[in-house]
Amino acid sequence: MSADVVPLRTDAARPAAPVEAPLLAVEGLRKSFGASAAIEVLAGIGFKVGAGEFVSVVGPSGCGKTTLLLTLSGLLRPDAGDVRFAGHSVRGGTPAGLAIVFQDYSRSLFPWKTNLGNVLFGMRRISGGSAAERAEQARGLLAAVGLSGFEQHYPWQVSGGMQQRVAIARGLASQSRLLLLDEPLASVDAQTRADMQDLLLGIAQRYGQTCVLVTHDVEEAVYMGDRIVVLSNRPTHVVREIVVPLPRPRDQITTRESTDFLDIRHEVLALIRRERHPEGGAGPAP
Amino acid sequence: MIWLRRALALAIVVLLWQAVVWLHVVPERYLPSPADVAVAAVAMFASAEDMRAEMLTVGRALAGFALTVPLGIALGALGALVPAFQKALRPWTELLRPLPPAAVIPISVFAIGFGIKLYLFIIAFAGVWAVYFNTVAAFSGTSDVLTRTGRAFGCDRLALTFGVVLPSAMPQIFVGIRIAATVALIGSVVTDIFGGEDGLGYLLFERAFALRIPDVFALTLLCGVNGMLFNQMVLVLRRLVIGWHDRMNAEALAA
Repeated sequence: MSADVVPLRTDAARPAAPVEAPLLAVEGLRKSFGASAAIEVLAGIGFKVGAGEFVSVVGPSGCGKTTLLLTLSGLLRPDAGDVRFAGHSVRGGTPAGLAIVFQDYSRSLFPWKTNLGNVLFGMRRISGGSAAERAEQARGLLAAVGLSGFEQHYPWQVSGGMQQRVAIARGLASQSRLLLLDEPLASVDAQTRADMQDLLLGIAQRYGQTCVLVTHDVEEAVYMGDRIVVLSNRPTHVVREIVVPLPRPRDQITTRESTDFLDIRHEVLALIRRERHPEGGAGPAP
Repeated sequence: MIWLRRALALAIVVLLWQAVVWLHVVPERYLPSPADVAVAAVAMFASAEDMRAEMLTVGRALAGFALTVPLGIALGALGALVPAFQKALRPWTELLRPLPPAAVIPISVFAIGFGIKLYLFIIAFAGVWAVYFNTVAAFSGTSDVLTRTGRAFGCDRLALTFGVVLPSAMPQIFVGIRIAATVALIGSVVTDIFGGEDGLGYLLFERAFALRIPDVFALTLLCGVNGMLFNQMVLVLRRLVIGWHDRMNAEALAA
């Protein structure tokens, strides 16, 4: 770690390291649900994501991560604040170039379409190219996520990890610049999870994707991210932004053993524990 | 194997039937023997008049079915997407749905007269409810994840309806389609009887009044066979449209 980066003590009150022309700019996002807005979920969230960055968003369970993600993608209208993608508000709906990979991938894939058909659906806003050329591209994307030979299978014929990869290929097929990942690995086994983390990092690099990963897994957030946005309990705001100076490419063994990794992990866990048990120290060790 | 079992079940019924005839439980002129009915059936298949009636009845049922399914899906989609429409329609659906098709024939004749229009109206009236209600339920029950996915990839309302909601609703809509197919045949025969001048239903009553009992049995059996054929037709349609769904369920069971 270079001496001029002081990642562990970034003050929440101070704006995060200024990013040149952010790809995604989130400002003062508020959202409440229920009769007379009784349940305040998002209480003024703001952060920026620069082009090419990998930003992890973590927070305590039930802090409204999915609400945040739906709002970021333009699928849910905020009560106040704005999300700007490449300079334009997402109020009119999910803009082209922004792809979302849902947590519930097994239900977000269309069971009446083959894996190839699902990836082709991702291209629906892209004009040009013959049907054969488009299919060729879709095959290429399936190959990139390691699914050659499964083009004609249906999503329900392949494993959970493979379904998630189809969903990622479908996102990439929209020629996305920004991938919003909603706990994409929450329901795959630990081994698959590690493989998928590396696959995602590789894909992000290869296809020049800016990524926002929303997760409840602190280690995953540290391992994947260039920066971590730590959220508070509901009503949710940003508690702290932490720069992750770990070198890339990351490695499941050495990265996770490094002092920086452990320090950041410690800091994030402590922040989240404080959010979960605000009375102070009463909670179990994380 | 399954065909063998079915053939056996049929043979047992025919034997029992023959036994009833031999024991003279019912006077023989009202209950013909299986052999008499078989002879009548052969004559029926050879008769141009009878086969014309069969074609008319089946043809009208098919036309009515082909009208009922898109009509029911369109109304159901409208009902699910425009709640005000469903609410406005509800008192009428509650009032009209329990009416037997035969009971509607008199007012329908006054309103639209005889002929193919009457058939189409009665068949659609009888069958549209099953498709309508299943479509409303299936559309309303579309998973949020699917519609969000569609919107996330830039689907507008129209693209979402036809590209995401309709295909995901098809398995449940098919429950209604299957009912509509059976009801189409019933509607066709009933209209022959009460509002027609030809077709299987008309022929059936003409022969009954003439006390040509074996003919009546043969025609009734033919109506049953038509029902089986319609059911097979729906199964083929089902495999074409939602074969993925049946295979998915089969694999889930096998797993």
